[in-house]
Amino acid sequence: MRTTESITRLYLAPSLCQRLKAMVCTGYPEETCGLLVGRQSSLRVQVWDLVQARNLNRERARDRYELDPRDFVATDAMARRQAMDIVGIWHSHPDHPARPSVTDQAAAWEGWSYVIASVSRKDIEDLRSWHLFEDGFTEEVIEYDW
Amino acid sequence: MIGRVTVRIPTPLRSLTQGADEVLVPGATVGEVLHGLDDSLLQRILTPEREMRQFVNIYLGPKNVSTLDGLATPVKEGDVLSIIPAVAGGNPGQEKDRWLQELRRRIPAVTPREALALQRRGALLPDTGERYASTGMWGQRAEQ
Repeated sequence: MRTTESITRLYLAPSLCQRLKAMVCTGYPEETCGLLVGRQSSLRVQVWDLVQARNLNRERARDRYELDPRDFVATDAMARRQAMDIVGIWHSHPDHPARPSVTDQAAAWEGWSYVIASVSRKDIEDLRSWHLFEDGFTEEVIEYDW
Repeated sequence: MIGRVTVRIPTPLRSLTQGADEVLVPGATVGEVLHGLDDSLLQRILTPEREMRQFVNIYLGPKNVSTLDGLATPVKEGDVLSIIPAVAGGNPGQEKDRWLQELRRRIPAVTPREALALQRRGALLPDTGERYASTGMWGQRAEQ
């Protein structure tokens, strides 16, 4: 169990939340995915932009995603030009909770934030962010108002 | 003359470069440049057999080196190599739902009397608490 002082906080402006909502709702019932661009310090992840990426897994697009590395390369170059970084990944879980799956954990990298949106036919049902440590995922606090 | 190539390091691997987001490494091919990296970083990119790991891609500018000549792809002064972590995942929910449906289909429905008869013959019947009021059956949902 992590103490409050060791939990990372993800700062996500309301305007970015609205964009995320539009992207995951438009993509429903398929999974949508993309990258978080911003700046990261030890316990603070500040998101300045969200970029949607192509899902290369077309056969199982409803329950799998495989982010197109070409979108990663292009976003990374754009972020570096603005003195920023790719600080995490976002993806949707259509009709399922906003919690990392075993599949998510198997493919995750330490050091990034993983924002997961639970989405239904009607709307975003839940939005949570997770950070992978050696002992598994820990939920981050999302700060919307800053 | 061997040129120096910029290698871009993604955030998750920067603990292996003392936080540096890129490093300059000399080399005439992609393989030579990668072998100029710190061992701990190299191990995250190549297998002990010196093949590219499944969960990492190397891009030379905008091109995946696996579509060029792989580790033998020539590089020159000023080129940029990017280490790209494979990003994937997914929702196991539908898979789990399908598995549960199949499992439930395989479990036969038994009445309490049949369950007791089976137990007398040595069967172990764990009580899952799933009794369906409409049928009095245990196990499979008869109304499905």
